[in-house]
Amino acid sequence: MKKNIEELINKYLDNELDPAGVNELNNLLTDDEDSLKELKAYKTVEHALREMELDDAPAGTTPRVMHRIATAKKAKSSNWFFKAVISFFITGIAASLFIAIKNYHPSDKEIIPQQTVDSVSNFIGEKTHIFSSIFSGDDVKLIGTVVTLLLIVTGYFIFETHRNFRNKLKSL
Amino acid sequence: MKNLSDIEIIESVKRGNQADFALLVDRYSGKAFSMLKRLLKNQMDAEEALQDSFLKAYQSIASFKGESKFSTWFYRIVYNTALTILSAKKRKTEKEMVSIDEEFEIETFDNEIYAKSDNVNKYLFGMVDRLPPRYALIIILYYIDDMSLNEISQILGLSLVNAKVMLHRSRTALKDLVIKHNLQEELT
Repeated sequence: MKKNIEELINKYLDNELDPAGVNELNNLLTDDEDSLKELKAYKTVEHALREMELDDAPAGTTPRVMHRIATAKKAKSSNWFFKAVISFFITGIAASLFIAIKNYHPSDKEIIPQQTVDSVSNFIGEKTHIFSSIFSGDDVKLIGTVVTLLLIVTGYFIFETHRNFRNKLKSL
Repeated sequence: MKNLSDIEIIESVKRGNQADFALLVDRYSGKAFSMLKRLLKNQMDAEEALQDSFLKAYQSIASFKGESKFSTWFYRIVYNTALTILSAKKRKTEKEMVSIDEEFEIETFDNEIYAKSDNVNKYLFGMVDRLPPRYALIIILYYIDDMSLNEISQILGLSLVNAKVMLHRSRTALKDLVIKHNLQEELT
């Protein structure tokens, strides 16, 4: 009985009670004092909840949120800058190596034809020779310059990032 | 400028007018804060979660297509942010949020809050704060925010039926307290 009246009143409060349900509720309320008490209590709750007010957000919420958005945006853009510097660095090294290898022309005396049992050790010797030729030729100047330049730029960027991070920590 | 609709503000923010997002913050910070206070039961956590929620909303505003109301979309972010904080802190509350069959423990606080309250409204507001988080949240969204049960079910990731059951349970629990203290008003 109690469950039925609760269900009917909840539906009534949600505006979901059909005409037959309204009649049933009316009959229950007329015949039973406890049911009427239930409705009055529900109405009291409903009335109170409708008068509930919002809590105010803490003062300064909007500027704080906007500051965080601006900071996050800045951090994101410096992230892109960092990625760009790294990409530039890697591309530079790859390009330097490519140019150096392309410019390498082994002389006749450098070719060691070996088709005997020790071909494995000669193969290793040949590869070592290629590398030593790359880094002992004029191309090493090009590679050295590019790498040094890129290291200076990267070093400067890392230093700046670290300094900004420290300043940010101090400002907290 | 303040009369702009949510959609107009969002379009403006999408066009790059970052400052216009402040209008949405002004508009929704009170409602979101009320939700978060009930969910997290802690002022400082609620403040932190409020800022996090707005930041997340800003960062993903490009993905808002206007298929639902901004408030529904944003409150879902607020709710998920609160859940993340709760699960990170592994509070008891987290356990309470798992099932809709969770136990009401409001009787425990009843005498204390009743003694402190000088009128029925104040008493019932105090008891709403003692409802399990999701139940309290449903009350806030339904009565303060005037949201439909359909929207509430979307925000909380519940079925419509479950949202309705939870609203009825909250209402009935409060009604039982009103009867217990004989606070019911005469019908007008």
